Amino acid sequence: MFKFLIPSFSIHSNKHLSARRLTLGVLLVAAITPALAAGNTAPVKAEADTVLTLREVSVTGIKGGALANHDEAVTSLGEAALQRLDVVNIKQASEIAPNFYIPAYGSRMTSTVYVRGLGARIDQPVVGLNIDNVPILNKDNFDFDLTDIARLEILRGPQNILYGRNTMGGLINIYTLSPLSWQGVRLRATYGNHNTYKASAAIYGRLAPGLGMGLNLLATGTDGFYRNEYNNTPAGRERDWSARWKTAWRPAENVMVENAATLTIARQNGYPYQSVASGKIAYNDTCYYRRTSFTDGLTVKHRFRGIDFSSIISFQYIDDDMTLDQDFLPVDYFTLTQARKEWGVTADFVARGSKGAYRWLGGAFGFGKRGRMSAPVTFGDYGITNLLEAKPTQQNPSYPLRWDERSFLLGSDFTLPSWGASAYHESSLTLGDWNLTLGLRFDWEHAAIDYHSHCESSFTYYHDGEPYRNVPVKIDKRGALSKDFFQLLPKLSVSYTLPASAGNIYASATKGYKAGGYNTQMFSQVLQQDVMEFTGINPDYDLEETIGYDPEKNWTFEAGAHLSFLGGRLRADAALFWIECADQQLTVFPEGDTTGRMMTNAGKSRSRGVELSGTFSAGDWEFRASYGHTDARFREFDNGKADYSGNTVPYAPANTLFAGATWGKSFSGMALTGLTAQANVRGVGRVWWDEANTVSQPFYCSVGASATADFGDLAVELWADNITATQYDTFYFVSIRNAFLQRGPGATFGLTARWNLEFD
Amino acid sequence: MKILKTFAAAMLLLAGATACDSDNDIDYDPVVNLTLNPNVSFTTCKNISGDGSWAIFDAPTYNFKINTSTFNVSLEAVKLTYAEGKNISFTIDNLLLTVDQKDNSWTISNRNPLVVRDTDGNDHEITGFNAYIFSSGRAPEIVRIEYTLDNAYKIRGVMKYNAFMGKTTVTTAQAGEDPYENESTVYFLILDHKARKAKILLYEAKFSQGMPRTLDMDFLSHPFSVGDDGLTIDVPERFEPMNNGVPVERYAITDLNLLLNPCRTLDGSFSCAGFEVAIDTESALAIKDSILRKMTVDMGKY
Repeated sequence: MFKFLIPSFSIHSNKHLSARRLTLGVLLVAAITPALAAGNTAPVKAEADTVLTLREVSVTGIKGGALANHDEAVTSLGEAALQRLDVVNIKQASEIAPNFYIPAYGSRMTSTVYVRGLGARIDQPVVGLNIDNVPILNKDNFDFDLTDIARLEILRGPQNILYGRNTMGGLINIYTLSPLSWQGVRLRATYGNHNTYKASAAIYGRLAPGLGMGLNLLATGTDGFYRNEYNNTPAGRERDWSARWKTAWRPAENVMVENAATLTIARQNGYPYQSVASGKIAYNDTCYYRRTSFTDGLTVKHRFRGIDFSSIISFQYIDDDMTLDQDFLPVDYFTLTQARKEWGVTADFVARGSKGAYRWLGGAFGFGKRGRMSAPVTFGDYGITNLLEAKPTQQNPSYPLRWDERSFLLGSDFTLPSWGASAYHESSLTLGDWNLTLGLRFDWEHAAIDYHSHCESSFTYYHDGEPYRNVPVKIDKRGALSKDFFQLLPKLSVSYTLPASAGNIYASATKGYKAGGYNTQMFSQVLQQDVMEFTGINPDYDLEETIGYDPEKNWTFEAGAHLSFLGGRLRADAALFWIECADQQLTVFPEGDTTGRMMTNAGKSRSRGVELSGTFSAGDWEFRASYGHTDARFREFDNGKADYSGNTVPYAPANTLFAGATWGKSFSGMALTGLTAQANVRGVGRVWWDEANTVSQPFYCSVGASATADFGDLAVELWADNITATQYDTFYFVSIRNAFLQRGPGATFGLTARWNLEFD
Repeated sequence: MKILKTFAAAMLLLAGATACDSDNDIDYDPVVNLTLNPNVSFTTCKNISGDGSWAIFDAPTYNFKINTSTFNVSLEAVKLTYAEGKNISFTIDNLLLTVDQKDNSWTISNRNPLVVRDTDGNDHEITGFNAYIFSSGRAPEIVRIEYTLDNAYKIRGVMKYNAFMGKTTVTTAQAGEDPYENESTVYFLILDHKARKAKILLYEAKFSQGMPRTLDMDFLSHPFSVGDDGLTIDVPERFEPMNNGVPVERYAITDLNLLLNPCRTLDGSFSCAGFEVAIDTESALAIKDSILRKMTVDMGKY
């Protein structure tokens, strides 16, 4: 077991807990650097568990994690930093890592991660999310709050070799607090403007020397920043609950078993999209997102004869319902409901070992998931008039047509099974100060869709005011489509350890891959076209072309450095990257009277950029900064209607910036045991909203700050975000030829009280 | 378009798939049996030695037996009518099969002038025999058959269902603007040889860049005449095409003039809403699924 021990430091004294939490965070950061800079006399990864142990505090990564990823760009945040920055979900980690951007728009279903110019707003993500080593299968389930995060790390660049599907842009690893690491009670209460509240309670305890359990409950809510002016209701209202039950059991010195079961419930209005024309959020039909999800992950680690065997098995269930006024206007175009139930299982078996200068890791992964979705669209009077009646009447005004009913249903039901298997291996050879790593993964995935579209309605042609011909509209279309994807993914990296524990430099070449599949969101559009066909107007879309999309592949070439100076007090990371992407999956809004979003494959794109980040601690101060620049452009993208070659890839920012300073001081002999103050500035932009590069959000900055007073076990924090109320947009799109945007939230502020009582 | 099916496969659907029987399993048997049924074709016949006029008769039944390993073909023609009240049945052996790998087509021709004996014991000379069969990888389809009988009668088989694709060029009414072209419109002619009328259907018609979506149009039924160049449809009068069963006044047609060279080309012109439309098309052997479905429905109506 690889450990860092700080023998002069004890964390059992509650009085100095706050100061130690701060110092702990700094020391965790500082402790990583020597590990990364360790020369080849002390292998960085010798064990199955890469463990940073500070007395009883431990965080673990089975396949590596920040402690061992010396040949890639990584940003790691420990518990203290996460607490200071109030990071409880992945969106709040946005911009802290360079070129890492998660805008908040729509709902908790629409969290999209952009890294280095790559990202996808629907269907498969480019960045994976692992929580306690369990890969979360469905991107729509990425956005939920977690308390007691022990460490969050953001790995940038393709992670497909070790982590497989949907990690071609990177990976977010979240590790939650283990009950074997800390025992006690944690309570937290937050209240802020817009009626924002958060309440959590957790208890961690040892039932036996090697058996610990933790139960964590959380309830949050807000009325949000936005208001629907049509009915004067809060458009950003949200209520969320979660429960996590974690068990850690060490039945023997060389065996570790962990199980984490998490239940989350989200209920939100969501989709506060403002019309560009009117400047208002005003729509007459209901919009909401409701989600219940359950994930259980069982991890078993066993060391046997020098080889570490691990298995990570999970069961995941999501039941969600998105209902939208799909035109986002105060008229009755149509509403969409997307109700889904999805079950999934994953199994990952890993073995790793070493012999002298040679280290290896191999494994096999499999997954299966099956979803059932019902996505009916209800046409309203305004939609029937403008979308179904107008065009054929315009074509033939002597014979206008009128629907026989002013509201009808287009039904779409889907079954979406997919499964896959892969095998992977990585070998690493250390020769003096040099390290060579080779990795290979074989990946197979099968994606399918069974669809049933149905509609029953009718309309009548009129001539000279009299009915001329009645046409029944009956659609009952069933079909099945499937695709298989096979990929061989290689990786090569070389690193050199600098003398005097100054860090290392590295270069790597890695192939990344994201599977293709089927997008159900355009199905209602295809069905609308089928209805139009009954009026004699031919459809624009071909079904399989519209809903199917091909895999996305890229090669990432990267060179970088992890540097450490002043005995680890100053750390700096730098990376240059060049990504060549083929068939980049892009979310586009098709032209014309449409509302759906279509996934299409751009021809080729290229993304180049630089990332700089660093931390510096001196006395009572700690500084953190990161900057990322990406120039992501289409090399070839002609969709048959326009040629966008040379344009910037939309939705991903060209620049991200984070700069923060923290001051902390501890006191003794008084009720006030510590003070901490922090301030940070985050910057993002320019973000282009369309592939034609006509609309954009320029670069903007927002400022946040907090001040915390510690009174032994109790800490009270005043916090504020976007203090200067910077106005910016997080999203822009066009629907039925109307432009909409979502404004970023204005200034938010509040008070948080934390009480941590550690058991002796 | 990604999904293409042969038009000829649609013909088989209504012809009762007579060309698709268990003997047509070309994967396992080098001998392919193909039949052209009289209900999907008719015969035009020119009396070369007489007044040179063309006549129209019911088609015979043609039974082909094609040996794809010896490239030998025999043909049985049952009840070929070549003049009023005159018909013969005969068998031709020793026709030559030529395969074009590029477009999966077969051409059948005679090596030399052939003398055949009809079922009444009379000898006849067959010259210039040419049959064209298209194979998409599914069952082969007969597309064209022509020959001369006794150096006196030029026999030409014409299919009832004819689909064409190619270039539709539209010149605008205003000078100085570029012509509009599209290559996606399918022209479907259903020929009723007894009534001497052609039903003309257009799928995915678009006559200007400003036309937002394509329309399917029914140009109604019009008389046709037969000549040396093929079948001619000439309709100078104004008529309103139908779209979805409703007359479309906006796209009224005048001066319709089409020349159908059976199983080869459809050329012609017409005026539509002030635009001059010129057609330069060939037999469509690969048509996308969505249009093929509509054609199948329309074939069932006529």
